[in-house]
Amino acid sequence: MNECQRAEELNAYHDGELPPAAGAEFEEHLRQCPRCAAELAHLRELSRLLGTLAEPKLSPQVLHRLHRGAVHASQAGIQRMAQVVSAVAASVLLVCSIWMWRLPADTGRPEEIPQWERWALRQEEPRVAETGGEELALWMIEGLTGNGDHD
Amino acid sequence: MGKKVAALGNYMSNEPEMPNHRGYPASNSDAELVRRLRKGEPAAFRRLVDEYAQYLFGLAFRLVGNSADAEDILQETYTGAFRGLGSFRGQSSIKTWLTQILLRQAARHHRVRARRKVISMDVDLAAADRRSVPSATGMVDVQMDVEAAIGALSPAHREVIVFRELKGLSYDEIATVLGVPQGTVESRLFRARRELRELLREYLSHE
Repeated sequence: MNECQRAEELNAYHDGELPPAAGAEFEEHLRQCPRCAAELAHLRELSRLLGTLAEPKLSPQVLHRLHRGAVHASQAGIQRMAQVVSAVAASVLLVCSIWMWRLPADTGRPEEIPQWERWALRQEEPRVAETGGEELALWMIEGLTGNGDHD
Repeated sequence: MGKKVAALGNYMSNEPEMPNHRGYPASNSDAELVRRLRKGEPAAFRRLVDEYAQYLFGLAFRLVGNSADAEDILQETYTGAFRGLGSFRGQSSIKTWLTQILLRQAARHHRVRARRKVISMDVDLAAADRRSVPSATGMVDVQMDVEAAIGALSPAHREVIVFRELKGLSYDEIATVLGVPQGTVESRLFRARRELRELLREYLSHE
């Protein structure tokens, strides 16, 4: 076998993998190194031998099966896309419906404030603060039943 | 001189064509094809088959050594590709992406076979090459021996030989497909060629 230290470089040269400048430099080396020149001849011969292998041909039956699989895959893709689009549309519809449902009905006038709330707001701050839970509950009941208008 | 060298004379008279190194980064046509695939265009799916099936089958055949398994691997490769279209980022070419899927399928196939203790490489040239090769007995003998020699290599060495010598990929392309540094590709190729030269010495005049 080759005793020159540039054997791996020789492979790269044979495979056309050396940059142009390195390739030119290696060709110079080849002119002076009979071992590398012989090794290169071996590599070329091996490549030619491997090149005698015929490319195995794909049978028409297999190709037909692949085409069938391709059609199924494309249909599955369209179905998936349709499902995604439907799901997104349904989600948007649902969100919009909930949003619309939660919107206050537009009666053309501002929302009426319950009487008990108005009454409570009118009280002086200290009185409200002093008011116990029981009294506050009574105000609310009065407000809701319409009996709390102390004006 | 090897005793079978003379038999090769007719087949080796011409210099082999220089390997065709296709651009490996995703091209514009790749991007266009992927866009159409994602839209689910049947013609695009068909084109993915028409453009790459023969290349992938040849690759699978050389990696596993028989047409039945190569066909299974090819089918699984396309199934995986169709299913994984969404994950294709377009950072490499479609060819690289498909080759990587095929390699995974071939490795899985190899593991299954190893578990079943069916490790031998059945050289099924009779089935595959009847469809493609002239019926010259001498040539078939040579091809069977070359095929057997490739089959005798370790999977790692076989891969680099198939990619470089039979498929014409550049070192960079092989490194990308295998996910290894380029230096690893070079050293594997160097050792694989030495091994092959030993196995095929009777066909090589200079050995």
